[in-house]
Amino acid sequence: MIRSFLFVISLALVSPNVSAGGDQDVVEELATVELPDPPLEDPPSASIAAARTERLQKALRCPVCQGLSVADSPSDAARAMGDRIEELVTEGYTEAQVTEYFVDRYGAWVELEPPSEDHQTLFFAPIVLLSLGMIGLLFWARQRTREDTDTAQDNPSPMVPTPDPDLEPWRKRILAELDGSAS
Amino acid sequence: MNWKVLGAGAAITVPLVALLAAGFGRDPKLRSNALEGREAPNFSLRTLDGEPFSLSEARGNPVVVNFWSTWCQPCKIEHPVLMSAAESYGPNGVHFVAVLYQDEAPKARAFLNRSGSHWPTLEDPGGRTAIAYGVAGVPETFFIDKSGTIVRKVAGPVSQEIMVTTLEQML
Repeated sequence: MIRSFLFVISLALVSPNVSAGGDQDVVEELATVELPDPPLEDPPSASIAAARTERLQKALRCPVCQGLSVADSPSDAARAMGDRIEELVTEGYTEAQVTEYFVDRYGAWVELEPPSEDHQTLFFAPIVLLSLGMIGLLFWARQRTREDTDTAQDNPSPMVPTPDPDLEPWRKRILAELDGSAS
Repeated sequence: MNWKVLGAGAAITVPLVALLAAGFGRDPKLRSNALEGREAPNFSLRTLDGEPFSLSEARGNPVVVNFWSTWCQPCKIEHPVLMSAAESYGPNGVHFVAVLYQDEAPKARAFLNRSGSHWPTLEDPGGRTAIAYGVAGVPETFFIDKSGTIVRKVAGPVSQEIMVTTLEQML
């Protein structure tokens, strides 16, 4: 093993221009990366593959950009990623498989939009919290009303006295005198 | 003191503060080291000299896979650390492999002729290997143990200290 490494290194040092630099086909031919799972589907038709590729390139984030999708970024890294997406889709990998492949490598960050479960949580959480708050407020208001009623029953407020008909002439006289003094 | 009001205030503010603390305590630009602890994706590539190289050949030995390019200044700063580590740990069975990222082979050859290298440098057509390793910039270095598991990923230039510590752990 080490000898083979030494051999390669010696080649690099002794004859740097002997390489296959010009023979890109040979380099391409050998270059393979093992994928974790086989494709779940047969290779799709060209139109389906193009539609899937476009959706994925718009949904996945360019690894070297801030907030740009693979489709929107002009960078070399995004182009390589876009090509890789196309290759995988053409081989029959489903959109979920391709997304999982990139999430496994780059983390959930690579998805421009968070998974739908998170969306739902974010959407429903304020509604649930608001509803709970309103229910709590209703209970509190109801309990307070009940307490006021109980207090009112325990300590009835003084009744407004009913005017005594026998005293009515005196009342009129007092009022008349008051009017007279006021004028 | 009105304990009911205090309790209600705490019930609202404590979760809110916890949520903000969790949000602000995390760097949104930080990329995940998703592959750490998982099996290193196998790849077969050609060296700059046209020789075939497969990661599986190195199974049973610790491997350091370094993604780099000549347009990356931090990669050049990191180069002496790799050279020194390869000289020290190569004889102990640690394999060093470099993968060229978004760069041209002639430029890499010219740089390596000037600066030297004790490891094979591989061409990565289409950047498939870089994508398989979740590379989002260079340099990025993956430390793979004898069983083929990625034990550490370092984004940015590897310091001498991290290099030595990690290699000692893997040996």
